[in-house]
This record gives sequence, C-alpha cells and structure tokens, in this order.
Amino acid sequence: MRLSDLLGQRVVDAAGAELGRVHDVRLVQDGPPVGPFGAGLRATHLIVGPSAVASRLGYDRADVGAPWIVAAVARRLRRRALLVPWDEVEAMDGGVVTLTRRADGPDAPIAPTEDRHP
Amino acid sequence: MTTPAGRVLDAMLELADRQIVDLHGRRAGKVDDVDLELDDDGRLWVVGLRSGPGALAPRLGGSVARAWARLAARLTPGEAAPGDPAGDPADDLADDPADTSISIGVVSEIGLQIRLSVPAESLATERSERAIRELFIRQVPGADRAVE
Repeated sequence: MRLSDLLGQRVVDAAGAELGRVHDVRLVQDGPPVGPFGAGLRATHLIVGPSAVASRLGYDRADVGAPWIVAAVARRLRRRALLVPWDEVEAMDGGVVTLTRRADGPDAPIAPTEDRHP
Repeated sequence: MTTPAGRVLDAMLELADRQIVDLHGRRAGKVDDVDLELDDDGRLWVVGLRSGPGALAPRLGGSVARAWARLAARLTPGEAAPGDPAGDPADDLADDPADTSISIGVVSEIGLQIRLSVPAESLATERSERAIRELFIRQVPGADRAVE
C-alpha cells in the first residue's frame, strides 16, 4: 500500500455518515529500530476533513506564521477536520474507508485536530 | 543522526516533496510517495519512500497520471514495458519501473531534508535521472563540460 492509495479516500462511519476525505496520515516514531533512522514509523491516525489545501501548506499548525486571512481560513478548516484512529478503521474498499463505530456515538467522540503538534 | 523516539509527524506535510540528500550531501530526488505495509496485527508501518517520475503519477490522478506514468516508464531503460494502454491504468502505475522504493532502513534523518546513509548511485531511483542525462542533456552542445 502507498500513501497515495489512502489520500482522497472517502471516510464513512459505522452508520454510513460521511466524515470527509483522507488528506494526511499521522505517524509516530515508536516502532522497532529500522537502521540509522532509529525507531520505525507507525500510522496512528487518518486526518480526515473537507479540505486539504490549508493543511498541505502547513497553515493549520500553531507554530507556522501566515497572513491573517489565510490563518483564519486554516483555523476554520482545522475545526472541521478529524483525527480518526487507525485502529478504528474497519475496511478499505473501492475508495471508501469504513470505521468500526459511529463518529457521534456515546463513547469518546472522534477528536478534531486542534491538538496537532502540541 | 537519529530522531527522538515518539516523535509525531504527518506524512504529507513532513515527508512528501521533501528533498532527499545522500551520504555525501548530494541531491537524490524528492519524496513522491510513501510505502506502507500492514503487519499481522493490523498496524501500518512506513517501509520506504518512493522517488522518481513514476512515483509521482498516482498523486496526479486521472489521465494526467496515466500519461505521466507512461512517459516516466519510457525514460527508464532496461526494465518492463510501460504496460498495455488498453489495460487498467492502476496496473500501469503499480509496476512502473520508473518508480522505485528507498528502504526506510537507509534513511538517517527526517527533517527539512531526508538524509540517507548511502550514496545516490546505489539507489534504483537514480535510473531515470541517468537516462534523462544520457538521452537529452548529453545532446546539448557543451554538456560534456558541465560540472556534475
């Protein structure tokens, strides 16, 4: 599988509700050593939302400066983006990622990406 | 040099399109895609970086991707044909010879640049670069006096 296979896929929860499209994959470096790089990189979350543009430019990160109007748009889009845990992915088929549960279920809601790179 | 364990990074934002530099600090292409592999426990690991004109094709999408993949394959000598034009375009992209993986095992640092622990000449991704030099650059008058 490649990153490009995941990007742009529609994400729906267990009830069939549309959550948006995959526009990035969050990785954490906590795996077994893989050579000079150190610990391996594991996918922990899909970043899912209505738009990838502000994210691709990095303007939704708190430590990146941006013209005020761009920053305002990026913040608005970020509020609508979701961090979907990788272990809640049930299946990937035909360009659709299906989750194991409802996004608005009684257990912990799928978090927005406000906390990225805290 | 190693990066701290537990570091968090976003693949598109912090890997894609980054410059790759080899052991000697020479440029060795850009990251066009990332190879991922599922293990038996359903965890998804980064196993390699893709670089080269063929690796960029899937990110372009549609007919542009197919045209780009065929062009990239033609520029890469000594490997499989670019694929049947009447076939599934996804098949063309899957086995594109101009699209080769760099193992995560030879990456030494991920930062503003992706540093490798090996020389660029040892990478299969260099094939298309060499082919372009042979086919086009060498034909330019004075190219043999160019500084590498």
